[in-house]
Amino acid sequence: MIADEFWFFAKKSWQIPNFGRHKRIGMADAKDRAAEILRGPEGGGIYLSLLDFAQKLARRYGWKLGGSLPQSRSPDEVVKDVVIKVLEGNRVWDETKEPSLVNALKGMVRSDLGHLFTGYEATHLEPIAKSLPDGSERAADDFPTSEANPEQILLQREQSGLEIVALDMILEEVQGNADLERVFLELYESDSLQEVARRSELPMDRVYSVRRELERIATRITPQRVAREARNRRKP
Amino acid sequence: MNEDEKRNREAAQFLDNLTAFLLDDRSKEEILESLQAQGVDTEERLREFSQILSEHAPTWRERASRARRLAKVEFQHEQVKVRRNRNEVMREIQALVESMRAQGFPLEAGAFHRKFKEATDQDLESLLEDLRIQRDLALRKERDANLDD
Repeated sequence: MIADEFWFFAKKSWQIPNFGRHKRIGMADAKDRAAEILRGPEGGGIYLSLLDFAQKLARRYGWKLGGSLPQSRSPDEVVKDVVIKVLEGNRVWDETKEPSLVNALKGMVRSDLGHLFTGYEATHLEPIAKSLPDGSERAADDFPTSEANPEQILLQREQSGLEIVALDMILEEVQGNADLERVFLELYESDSLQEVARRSELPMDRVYSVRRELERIATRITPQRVAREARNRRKP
Repeated sequence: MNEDEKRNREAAQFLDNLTAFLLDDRSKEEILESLQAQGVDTEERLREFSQILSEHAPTWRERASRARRLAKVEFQHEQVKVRRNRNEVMREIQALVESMRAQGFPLEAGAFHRKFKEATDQDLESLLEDLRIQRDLALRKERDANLDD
């Protein structure tokens, strides 16, 4: 009898379908595992590296669009939201796909920043449907399908103009310093520290210090400064 | 691709590479230095991070401590509630005594109400109950007497 009861309870605990159990346990595991890592000795460092990542990525978007994050959001807030979502299990870190928690979190931050800026771009485009001055109605069919509409073309032109201005401003700051100039030139071809060191034939510690200097320069060249400079250049 | 498009593409590629280069293989010191240069209060952000962990992924110790705090608050709230109920019972007793006196009803339990402070909540509740019974009896007697008349 006791054995029967034991069997019954044992069976009952395994009556949950396997798929559901694994899915539930997997999500809980991911959440707990992320919490365990973030609570560990590397946690603070991970959070700060995410903040730094978000700051730089937001600046990169800003150089493209000429402003700071839309919807009054800050890069810090985006990072905070992502971390909370992962800790609460609203976003799942799939360790089998991305074993590094930092990289997984960076991917989520990149995705959220991307969505924010894409949304910003969308709100800055004029709607396709519009009453034209001649009284006719403009519709999607009025635009050739393979080409961007006039507003998109104008926006793209202004945005790419901003990136050229940002590049020029960096170049102005770099000129006159031989090592900075060498690294600057290599950045047209590569984005990796090791590769830039190899190509520029500079010692590694020198590349690190050049990078610090480039970092200071990039920090000074804010998206707002770039947008101002672009406006000044457009003036007749 | 015309010359302008080529320049635009090169500029975008350069800025992408620069951003990736600035993020590649960084030491903790570099990250701290960079954040501080961007005006980020790193100490404040780390405090915020601890707060996030404590609120959204609490350890069993934090959960227990929170439960204790909550229980303490609830207990204090209950005490206020009990005190308020006790005061209400006392007011009701006084009102009942006064009304019975005014109607000239005998007050057998009257002696007790002078020692309110010493009485327990339970004593007060039963005193109130006794007084209600006395009043109801007195009212019934009065009604019966009126009917006899």
